[in-house]
Amino acid sequence: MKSMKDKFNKKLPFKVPDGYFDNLPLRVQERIAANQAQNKYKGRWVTIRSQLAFAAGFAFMALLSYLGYYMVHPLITEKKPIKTDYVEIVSRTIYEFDDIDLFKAIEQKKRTDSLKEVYDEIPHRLYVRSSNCITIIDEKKEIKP
Amino acid sequence: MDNHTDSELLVMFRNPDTKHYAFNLLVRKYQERLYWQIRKIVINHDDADDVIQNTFLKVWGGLDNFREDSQLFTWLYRIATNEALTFLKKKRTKLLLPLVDVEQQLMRSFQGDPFIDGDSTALKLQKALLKLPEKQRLVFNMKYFEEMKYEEISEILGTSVGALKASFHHAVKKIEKFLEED
Repeated sequence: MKSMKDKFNKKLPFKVPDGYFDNLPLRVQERIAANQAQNKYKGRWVTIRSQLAFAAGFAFMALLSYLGYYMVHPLITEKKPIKTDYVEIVSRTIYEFDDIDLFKAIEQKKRTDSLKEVYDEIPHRLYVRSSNCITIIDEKKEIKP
Repeated sequence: MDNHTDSELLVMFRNPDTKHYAFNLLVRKYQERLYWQIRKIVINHDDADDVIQNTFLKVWGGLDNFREDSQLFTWLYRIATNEALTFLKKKRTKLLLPLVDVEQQLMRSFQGDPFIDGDSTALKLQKALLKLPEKQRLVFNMKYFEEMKYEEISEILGTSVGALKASFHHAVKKIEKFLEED
C-alpha cells in the first residue's frame, strides 16, 4: 500500500474543460428551472388524466349496473306468479289478493277439475257400457237357441 | 462564499426567499468533490457531467426532506454514488452488455476522451481499477483517493466496516498484482 502511494501519488489522470466548475452552478440552475416547468406541465396532465380515469371508471360502473339490472330483471319477472295460478297467489300474496278474484279462481278450478274428472270417467264408462252390451248380447245369444 | 456551514446553508435553503441562493452556494461548495467521485466511477467527462447534473437535481428535490441524521456531505456523496452506479446500469441495459463488456467500454474511453491524460502513470492505476469488481473499485476510490474513514464509507454504501476493510484489502492485493503483471 505504501509503495503504491509513493508510486502514484494519488494523482488522477482526468481533466475537465476550462471554466467547467465556474459554469456548472448556472447550468444546474437552468436544468432545475427546465425540470420544474416540465413537472408543472406533467402535473397538469396527471391531474387531467386522473380525472378522465375517474370519469371513465364511473361510466363503466354505471354501464355495468345498467346491464346487470336488465339482465337480472327479466329473471325476476319470469318467476312472478301468474294470476291464474291461484294456489301460489293465495299462499304468497294472500293479503293482496282480492276475495272476488279468489272466489272466481276457485270456481274456475272446480269447473276445470270437474270437467277433467268427466273426461277421465268417459273411457271407463264407455268400457263398462260396452262390456255390459257384450254381456247382454251374449245373454241374448244364450237365450235365443 | 464557501464559509457557510452546512447548517447555515440548510436554514437558508428552507427559506423561500434565499432558497435558490443557498442551493447555488451548496453546488459551488460540493461540486468538485462530487464531480471527481462520479468521474472515477463513469470515467468519461460527458457522462460525469450528465450524472452530476442529475445528482444536483435529486438534491434539489430531496433537500427539504433531509433530516440531518447524517452529515450533508455524506448524504450528497450517497446520491452521487447511486446516480453514477445507476448510470452504468442503464448503459449496460441500453447496450445489452454484460458487466465485463461495460468495463471494457470504460477502458476504451481512456483512449477517446480528450480530458484524460494519456501518458501519466496514474492512468495505469485507473486501468487496473477497472479490472476490479464494482464494489471493490468504489471502496478503493473512497479510501485511497478521498482518504475517507471506513465509518463514512459504510454510511454511504450501506456496508459494514468489516466488509469494507476486507474489500479494500482484496482491492489493493489485486491492483498490485495487475501492476506487477503490466
